[in-house]
Amino acid sequence: MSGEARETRETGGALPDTVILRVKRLRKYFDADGDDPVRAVDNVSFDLHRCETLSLVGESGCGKTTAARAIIRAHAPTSGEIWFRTGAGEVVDLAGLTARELRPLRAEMQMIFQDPYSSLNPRMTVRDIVAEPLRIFGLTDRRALDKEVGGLLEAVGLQRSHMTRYPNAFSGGQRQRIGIARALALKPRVIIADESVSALDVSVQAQILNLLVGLQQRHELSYLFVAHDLSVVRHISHRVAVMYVGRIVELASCDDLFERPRHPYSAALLAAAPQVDPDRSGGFAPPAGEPPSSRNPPGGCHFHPRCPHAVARCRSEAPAWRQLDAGRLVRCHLAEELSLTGVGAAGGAARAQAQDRHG
Amino acid sequence: MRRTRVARAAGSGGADTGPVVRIRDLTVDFDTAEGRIRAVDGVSLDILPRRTLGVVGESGCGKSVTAQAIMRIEDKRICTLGGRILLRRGRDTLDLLSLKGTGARMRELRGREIGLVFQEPMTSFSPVHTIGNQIVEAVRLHFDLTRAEAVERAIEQLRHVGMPHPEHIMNRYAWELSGGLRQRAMIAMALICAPGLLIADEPTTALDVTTQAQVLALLDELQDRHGMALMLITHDLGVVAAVADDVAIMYLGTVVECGPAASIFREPGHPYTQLLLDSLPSLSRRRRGALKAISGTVPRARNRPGGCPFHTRCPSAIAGVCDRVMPAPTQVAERHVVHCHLHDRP
Ligand SMILES: Nc1ncnc2c1ncn2[C@@H]1O[C@H](COP(=O)(O)OP(=O)(O)OP(=O)(O)O)[C@@H](O)[C@H]1O
Ligand SMILES: Nc1ncnc2c1ncn2[C@@H]1O[C@H](COP(=O)(O)OP(=O)(O)OP(=O)(O)O)[C@@H](O)[C@H]1O
Ligand code: SF4
Ligand code: SF4
Ligand SMILES: [Mg+2]
Ligand SMILES: [Mg+2]
Repeated sequence: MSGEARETRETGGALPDTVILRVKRLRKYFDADGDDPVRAVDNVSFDLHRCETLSLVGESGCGKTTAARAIIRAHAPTSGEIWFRTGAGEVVDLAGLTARELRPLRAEMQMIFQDPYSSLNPRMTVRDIVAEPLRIFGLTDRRALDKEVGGLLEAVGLQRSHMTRYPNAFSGGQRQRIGIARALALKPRVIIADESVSALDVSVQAQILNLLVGLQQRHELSYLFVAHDLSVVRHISHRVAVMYVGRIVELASCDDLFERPRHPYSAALLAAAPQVDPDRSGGFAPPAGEPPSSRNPPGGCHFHPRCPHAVARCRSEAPAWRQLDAGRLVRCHLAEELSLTGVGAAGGAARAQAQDRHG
Repeated sequence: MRRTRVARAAGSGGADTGPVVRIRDLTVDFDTAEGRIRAVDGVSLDILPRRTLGVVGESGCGKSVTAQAIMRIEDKRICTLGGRILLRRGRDTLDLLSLKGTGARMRELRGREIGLVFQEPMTSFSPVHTIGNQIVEAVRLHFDLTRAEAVERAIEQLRHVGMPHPEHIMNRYAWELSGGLRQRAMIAMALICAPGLLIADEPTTALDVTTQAQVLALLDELQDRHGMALMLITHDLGVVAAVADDVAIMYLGTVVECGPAASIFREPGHPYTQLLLDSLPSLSRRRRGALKAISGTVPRARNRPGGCPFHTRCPSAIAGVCDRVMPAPTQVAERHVVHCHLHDRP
């Protein structure tokens, strides 16, 4: 690890203490050797802080899953850097590590999957499912394993006695808890949750969201969260990155993004999101068209064919990053000039009030 | 989605304004390896013309099975239907459950009077025939048209649902289209005979928020134009709040509350409805502490609890009553009905 180690120390010094993961200019192209590769993730950069939830949102195919999988090195990135602060306090670039060098770090970053039905092996007991990662990392004593597994099951709101059962004896929400217990087994510091609550019914979804928030505080976890339900994203995130065709187009604090979006695509996503609105004043409005293919996206700003604000320049010139106010980055030529509506405005206030009656 | 909801008054019972479909005491039983299970247990609902009825409820509560019963596409080897499903045709009323599901009469009504759109359009389109051929066949099944006339009508219909280059799409296969365009093609096919009722079972669940908004806007616009009734099945309360005029909330094979959407969202009367609304995260509100979750899980249809089906999870359950007696419907506001003992009149 000698070459990396040197670089590690250099960049490690530049990584602020609060940052646990720094993704820099990450690219993942499929068919990279072909004539037109799929630019699934194209020059993506962000920081994930300690105990922070950062969400990736955007339409299907924009590269959320690919980015997440490249970060945990389930995909080899095409290029870019993935600086990770390990539990031992070292800062390493995961992108440059070999499989063997990665192995000890795998414990520290875990993924929770979308589908609670297919992601658990039906022939294994809950004990074996949750204990498997522990066993792989060398814990073999049966009694110690049982104690650990029992504690994990309780941490996610299940019972020790569930250990001997098989997954098919559990509901969708309970299975998702088992998946979370398994992800927690190795005391990770970063959890990647890709659509982990999307398949759940609302009543169960609320239980799992509460569980994730509670675990984050108790175990000082950082979440990289992917969800298509923007209400869920609003609830759970500290910051949000909006992706469009492989690129992040806006990165902002959760409240800023929802209340005052600065990129036309962010505003379009928010306008399309349905919500329970007792006054039913707003309704929702779809943006025109469909997202382009990431094989040959439109030139200039990828969003220009669908953007109601596009000007000539948008067709020819790709917008660069602009820093607008503290911590907010936007990739739009007109970011400073446009006045866009979010969901916290007039209609939102009425909605919030009506919901307060319940909440 | 801009439209004037107020202009869409609920029908009051005349020949033209009465419900398109009245479901009465519908039961659906399945014979399974573990014995007979009751998937739908006494559902009664009115589907009114020119209005959207949103049917919501958690997975397994019987939404799709109810839709399949109306269409009579149940698997009759394992499925037994009971009750009545009364379809209005002009001045006549027809009980669909008195017909043979596979019979000629039902085939004639299906598509012509009642259209169906599924979550996954690939199940309605054949992979080996072009979209054009399938729509043309659907028209000619019900209308005496030449092939050329039917083709014209199909292209017109594709244009109608906002399909770009309809002539071109006619020669394409469903699997060649994106999810959103495929859903449009299916809606075009379902509406080609201008049915009085369109049932859409999770039509947008597999789609992005943006595409979902486009498809819902389309359904809404088509409904206004054709004056049809729309039964929109979904588990997404946000979707229902955005497009439904009336709402039915289902739990374990029963309707626990139904009525005008405005009334239900403003004054939800059933504990389950209230808890569902409380458990939703809000798009427009900053996070304040934990969400209110409903404790426990939905019992399996095989182990239906006696009395009120919700009593095993209900924080307001009245011991000795809710676990014994099925609550009767009580009207709490105009056309707004709740099935819960808390609303029992002495
Ligand atoms: N293994 C692969 N080979 C080729 N292309 C791929 C592969 N995996 C993903 N892609 C393409 O990369 C792009 C990004 O896909 P990705 O799954 O990351 O999107 P996503 O944002 O997670 O979408 P969704 O919301 O549907 O899950 C898409 O165009 C997809 O078709
Ligand atoms: N072919 C079948 N054989 C046996 N049971 C069935 C069959 N189809 C449905 N059921 C049962 O009927 C009940 C209602 O199912 P239904 O598909 O209507 O639920 P749903 O409300 O549409 O749920 P979802 O939101 O998951 O689509 C469930 O308990 C289901 O297991
Ligand atoms: S750069 Fe131009 S096309 Fe792109 S989002 Fe901004 S205004 Fe729209
Ligand atoms: S009838 Fe009883 S158990 Fe059922 S919802 Fe009403 S209070 Fe709760
Ligand atoms: Mg994905
Ligand atoms: Mg269903």
